[in-house]
Amino acid sequence: MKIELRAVSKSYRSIHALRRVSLEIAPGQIISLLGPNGAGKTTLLRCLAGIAAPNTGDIYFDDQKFRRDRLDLRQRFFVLPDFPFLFWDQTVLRNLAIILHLYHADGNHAEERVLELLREFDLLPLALRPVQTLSRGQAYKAGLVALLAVDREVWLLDEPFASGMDPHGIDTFKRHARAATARGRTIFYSTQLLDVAERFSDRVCVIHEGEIHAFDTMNRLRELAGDKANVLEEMFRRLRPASE
Amino acid sequence: MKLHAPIFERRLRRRIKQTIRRSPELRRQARRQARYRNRTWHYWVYPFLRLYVSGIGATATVAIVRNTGHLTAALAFVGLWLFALVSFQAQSLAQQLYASPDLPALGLLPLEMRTIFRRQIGKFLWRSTWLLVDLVMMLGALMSWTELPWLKGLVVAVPTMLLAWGAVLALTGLALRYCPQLPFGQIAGLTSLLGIVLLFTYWIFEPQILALWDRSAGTLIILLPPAWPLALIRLAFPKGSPSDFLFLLPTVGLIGTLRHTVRQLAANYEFSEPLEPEAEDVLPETSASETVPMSNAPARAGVTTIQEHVATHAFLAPANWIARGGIEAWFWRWLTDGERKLAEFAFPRKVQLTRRWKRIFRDLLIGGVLAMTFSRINFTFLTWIWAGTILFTILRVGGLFFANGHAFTPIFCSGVNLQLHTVYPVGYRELSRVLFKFTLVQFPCLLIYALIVGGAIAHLAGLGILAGVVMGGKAAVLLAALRGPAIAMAFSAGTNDSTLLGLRPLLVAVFVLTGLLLIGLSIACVWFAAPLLSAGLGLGAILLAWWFWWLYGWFYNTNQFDLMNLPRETI
Repeated sequence: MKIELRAVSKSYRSIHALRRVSLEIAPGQIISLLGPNGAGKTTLLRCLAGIAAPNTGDIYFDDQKFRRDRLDLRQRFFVLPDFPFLFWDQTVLRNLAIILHLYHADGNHAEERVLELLREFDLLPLALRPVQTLSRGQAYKAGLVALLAVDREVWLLDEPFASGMDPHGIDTFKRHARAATARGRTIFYSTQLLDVAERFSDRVCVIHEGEIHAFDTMNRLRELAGDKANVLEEMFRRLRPASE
Repeated sequence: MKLHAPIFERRLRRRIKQTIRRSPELRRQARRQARYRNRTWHYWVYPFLRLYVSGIGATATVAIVRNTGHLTAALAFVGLWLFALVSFQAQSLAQQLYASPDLPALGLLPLEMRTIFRRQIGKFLWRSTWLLVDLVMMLGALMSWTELPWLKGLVVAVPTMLLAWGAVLALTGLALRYCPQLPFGQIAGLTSLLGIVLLFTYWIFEPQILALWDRSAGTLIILLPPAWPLALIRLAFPKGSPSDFLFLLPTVGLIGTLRHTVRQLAANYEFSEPLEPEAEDVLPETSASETVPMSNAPARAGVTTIQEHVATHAFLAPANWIARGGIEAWFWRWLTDGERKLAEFAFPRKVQLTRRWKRIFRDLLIGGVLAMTFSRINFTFLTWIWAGTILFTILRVGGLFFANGHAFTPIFCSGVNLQLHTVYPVGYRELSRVLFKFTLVQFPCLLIYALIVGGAIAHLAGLGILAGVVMGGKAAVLLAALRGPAIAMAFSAGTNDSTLLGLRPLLVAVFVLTGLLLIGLSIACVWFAAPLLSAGLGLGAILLAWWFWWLYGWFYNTNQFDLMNLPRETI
């Protein structure tokens, strides 16, 4: 699914979180969203998810204007915030069942997919435990299993690598994400980890004070940069205020 | 208790200001933040609103003594006012002790639990001084109206106010310590609603209310603990009797419990990381007793069992509350496939409708029998036991009829609160339809309840049972119509619609005026007996309710505001 932002601006009173952001994201790629704290990363993801309402500008999915009542479009992407939105007193399996039902993904072979994912993320022995008895990393994995089981066209993830997941969970997620992009899925995630972004993305989107500073492939950014080894670090150094 | 070092803080603030002044970039950022802070107007508006409420109380106190000519009637009103505030105080204390936004930060500091407890109690006590403001204004107005010499008034009123304040605090402590399961928030909400309704409809029932109040004032002074110290005020008047001193004994006894209650609350104080019992790994269809064959140790489902549970598609079976009762089954049958999925999302836990309605009717019956029995001793008991029964059951009826499930649960995420439904493909209209159906399947029960209660109230007020039954029926229909605005308000609770709209003042005014008009039309519809007029007003109220729901949905769907808001302390 093609994602397009056309001159999207968003402000919270006097603070401009996004300033006329325009982006066009073709399907089948992993995009990492980078930027200092308060740069507008989470706001951008929330605008895409329909949670935050842009003050001006529009968002299009496959050339169709997105509104909150377009549930047909809403069904085609999955949002996973940094804190998974689950029913904490319900078991992992019950949560998965509710989410699969909501996305109409409870048809044939759903159980096989869920079983496989639970096994891969080491959640099988915990599947009948309430989410509130799990650790933060395990709870995030439960949210991730829901995302992978539902397998929508666009995945929107806020800070997946700062979620408390263990290295095995992170590796498994990366493997699934790579396979998903090969199937045409688009993965848009925010992170503060530059080395992760460098290795695990087809494109990098750098945002600062609500404006897009770079949106390109890593190779292209390296070509443009003087210091090819530390291209992202150098970019972030330049974004710091001159006073410091 | 101070958790900061004032000298260090002052020095740090000075250094920060100097650093900001030196850098144009930092100056720009600081100016932006300052503008943001200046616009949080609601923090300073609250004291004025609260003073306004105290003023209403003072006006009502004077109006009662003026119209009845009896000081006791006015004192009973002040006592009832304080008693009604106990639920607000209990809600505030519970919030300070167990849900204050400070607690996670305090939990990380090297502080003893009792230090944190003392700090939170101190904050609660500071807030509770608004009770003293109420008392000063109400008793001050009363003394001014009765032209009591100021020195005499001061000598009696000051200790009385302090004792009344202590009595309310003692009751609050007892309520939180021994009845923590009571829905203090709901009680406070209903009390506010009743107060607003009474404020707008007082003129209709004025003679009946005043007569009933004058008749019951003496009993109320005895029944309501916060009114006990107020009886001492009568000593300052010529008609005061030395026997009023007797009220001092239970008052002192009640305040005496405060120390023990605080100790008890402190001893059991634990706010951080509530530890859940180890999860039962039993399959949902299997009861716990079946899984304990011989030993005391609970049998746990192993990986193979879980695997089978998933592989057989059993985990995708519908929720297990469908067949729990007649109303639940009706609700489930009425839903379409898509709505059933949303219903499972909104109500992931078991839903009990049939059993809870049966309990409401049982309690109504018990209250009725008790009222009839005690009315033989004193007729006033009939009114007050009925009033208590209706209040007790109406809270549960409201909770059941307007239940929204868990889709609107706020979750703190990256500095803001988001409702659970916001990250899933759940639409305003779709979820509303499910909640409407949830309400409508309960309508027959609500109608029967409203007919009984309407008939009983009208009979007690001397209006005739039939008139009351008709009023009850109309009220039931209007309550069902109010479901639309209630759903809109549930969505609204998780948004910033009142703070970020471009045409904010105008739109908020439109919604508030619509709400007030809706309440006015509903009350008028219930009150006026003329069929055509009543039907017209009722139809107007229903259309207005629908318009309110539709209009809010239009704003919601066209992305006019964010589906998030800043977390704030509940009062």
